[in-house]
Amino acid sequence: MRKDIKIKPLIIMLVFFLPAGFIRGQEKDINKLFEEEIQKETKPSTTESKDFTGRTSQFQFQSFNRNVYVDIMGTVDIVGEWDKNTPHNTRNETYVRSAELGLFGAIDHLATGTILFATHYEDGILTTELHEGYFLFPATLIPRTNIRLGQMFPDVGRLNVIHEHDWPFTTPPLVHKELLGEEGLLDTGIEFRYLFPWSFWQELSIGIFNGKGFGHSHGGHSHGGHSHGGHSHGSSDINPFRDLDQLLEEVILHENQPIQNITFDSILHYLEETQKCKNILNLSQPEKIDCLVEKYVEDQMDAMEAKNAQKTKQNPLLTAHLKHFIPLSNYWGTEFGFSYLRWHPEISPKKWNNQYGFDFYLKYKRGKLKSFVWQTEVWYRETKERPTNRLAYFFDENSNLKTTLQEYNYQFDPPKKIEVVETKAGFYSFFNYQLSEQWFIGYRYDYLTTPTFKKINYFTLIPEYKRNGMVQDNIILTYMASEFSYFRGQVSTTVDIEKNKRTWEYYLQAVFILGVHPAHKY
Amino acid sequence: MRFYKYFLILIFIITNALYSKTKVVTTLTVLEYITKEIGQDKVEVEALLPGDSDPHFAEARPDYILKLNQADMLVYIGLDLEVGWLPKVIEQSRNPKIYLGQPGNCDVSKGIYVLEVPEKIVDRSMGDIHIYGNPHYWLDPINAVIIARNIKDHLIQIDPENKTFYENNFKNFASRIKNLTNDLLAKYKNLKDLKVAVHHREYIYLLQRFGLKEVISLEEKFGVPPNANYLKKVVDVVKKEGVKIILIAPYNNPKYAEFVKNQTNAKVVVVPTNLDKSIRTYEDLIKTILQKISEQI
Repeated sequence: MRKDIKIKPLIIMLVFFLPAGFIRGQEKDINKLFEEEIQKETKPSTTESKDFTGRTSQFQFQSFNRNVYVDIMGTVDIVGEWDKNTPHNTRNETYVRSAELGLFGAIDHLATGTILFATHYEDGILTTELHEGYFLFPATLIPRTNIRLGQMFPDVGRLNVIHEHDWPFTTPPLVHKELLGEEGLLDTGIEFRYLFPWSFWQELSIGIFNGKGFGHSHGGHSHGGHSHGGHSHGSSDINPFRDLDQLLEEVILHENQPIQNITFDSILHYLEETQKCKNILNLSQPEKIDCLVEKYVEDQMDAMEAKNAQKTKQNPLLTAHLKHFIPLSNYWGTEFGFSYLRWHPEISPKKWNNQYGFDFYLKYKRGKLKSFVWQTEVWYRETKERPTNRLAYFFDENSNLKTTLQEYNYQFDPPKKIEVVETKAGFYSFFNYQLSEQWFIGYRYDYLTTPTFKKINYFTLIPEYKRNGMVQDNIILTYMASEFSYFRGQVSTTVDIEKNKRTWEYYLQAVFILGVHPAHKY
Repeated sequence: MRFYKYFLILIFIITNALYSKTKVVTTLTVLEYITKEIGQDKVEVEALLPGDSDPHFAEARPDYILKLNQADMLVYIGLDLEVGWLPKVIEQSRNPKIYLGQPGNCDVSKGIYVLEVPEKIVDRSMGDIHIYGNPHYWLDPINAVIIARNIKDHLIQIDPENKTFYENNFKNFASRIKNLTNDLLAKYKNLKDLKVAVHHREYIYLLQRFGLKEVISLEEKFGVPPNANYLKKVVDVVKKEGVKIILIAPYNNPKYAEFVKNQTNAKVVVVPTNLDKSIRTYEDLIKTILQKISEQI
């Protein structure tokens, strides 16, 4: 009974008072916590024990307890490629296409810096070079304008500013490879990116670069690849002037005789076609020889100048890219832009290239589970020529051939009009659909052609337009293990329209990224 | 005539200066709400991400760049939550007012008592780990007050003339949140010690505040989809511990939680992590989460 008397109040206490006391105690703690946080307003914010800055990388050098804020990144891009074609279009082996090491960080209050070294195959030899190295002034010098100064991938088109290992496919689109370079256009100069003060996003990039080289390659396809029927080297697949020294002599001595499988007539037609010696077919025989000699001298001079091109070429590359973005919803968006490039393909200022591009990008992305991309680029290049000087040649007292540049006499011999001597055009269209959290399936259609492509008809000996170009279909399957590694398979089939020949190529790719991976552009 | 023209322009400029609002851009809708509470009619606030999006996997969209270009202040969660996209947007914004270290750059994680800060050396073999600790801290009401305090401090730096206004709004907000927390603690005391599983560890702050126990995460490693072996382990733990609730966010892949649900008696509860069209206030957000959990037990 006593026992019961003692236990009852205890139970009553436990049932009624403890929970209330617990809640009151918790309330007290909560209230105390809140009051502490509210009272902190009176303290200067700098007295907080921790100041989280949300830095971009966990890989930062710590030196004498001082954070230097340098982010580092390393990437390796491994590619295996095979085909059964004769000759092979691919290397038929697995190799490290490129390995990159990059450093990024704030230089000072004005600029950030990027240094990126790349090791890759250049003509089959593994070489290391400075890939990118530039200042970025993020509107610290000119309002609304980001300025890049140094060596970089200029902002033209869509793919050119994205590193090859970040592309959503293994091989470059044909038009990109032909008109911008295997990996892209890389040059040294200065670029301004101006954000217009409109209510919609519109950005204009203008750049001026050395223009001493055009395009950039890691040489992945240097042992084969698609030759595009020699389109890149002229408007014909024959070049009778490969060994002009001997050829000229033999042409003169053995008129109308086949020489090295090239006839004198075919050379004349070539000259007619390439506008090197206009109306040569209607000329008298001495005039034909005269024209040939002129061409010979011109080629000799070009060859001599080409040797010193890197030292003497002063013709810059100019770039411009006007971009727009239209947000269609929180998850859909489209970006499109127009690009322009102007540069001199040769040392002589009389010949220049104008290249026009259109890029289009439509994207749907919802977190990491759903995405769809449609990406297209169209490029058109025309090579123009304006003769400003002509070559004169003479024989000196020792019978050596000498040349000189002679100004046109505009009064009696006005210069020819600007002529388009060659054009190239092409596009690609790429669709990428996210199958699941880590799998993506893509399809890319490529087309490339040379509208000015002509070939000598050996029956009529008249150069004729010939249907030409390359069409490529690609299926790409990607497994993204994480943001920092992915594995990809690609099957490509290419049709050479001129030769009416289809080839198949197979690719496997594995890429990993160490350290920080800077955020991608949209 | 000319005098009047200049006079009108002058009046326009003065009026514009006097009544111009501080333009604030936030990454999340929850920050948009808190900023509005502090700044009220003195600020114009806009969030970049919609409420149902995953802040880890957003993108540097050009329209975000435009919004930041026109902002006087950027408010973000920090602790690397937005690291995959926000630095690019800031760099491209060409707006020095919101660069790191400026009054317009408001990292609201300052002063937060961060949970799950790695105590050992970590690397990516452990998944997409947050090296500064778990950044999903805004679901703890006390942290909402700390967030509000940070926003208030930065607004005062940008607009010191309205210091008292911002301070009063902060006090009111903090008081409201304090009362709400007390009310919810009392109302949902039955949730104390409730064992739950989660997809991603984004509810840890809320669970800890209201006394729930997180038993296991469906992600073996942060941000990495679980494999079959690990899911079997999850099933075993859920059965053994008697877990009744699996919490997932609207943007999580539901198939893993569904798999565990089908193998156990646990229920999958999709709970928001941010404000959206149906949840307009921070108070509603916390209430909704607790209510959804409570309904399932």
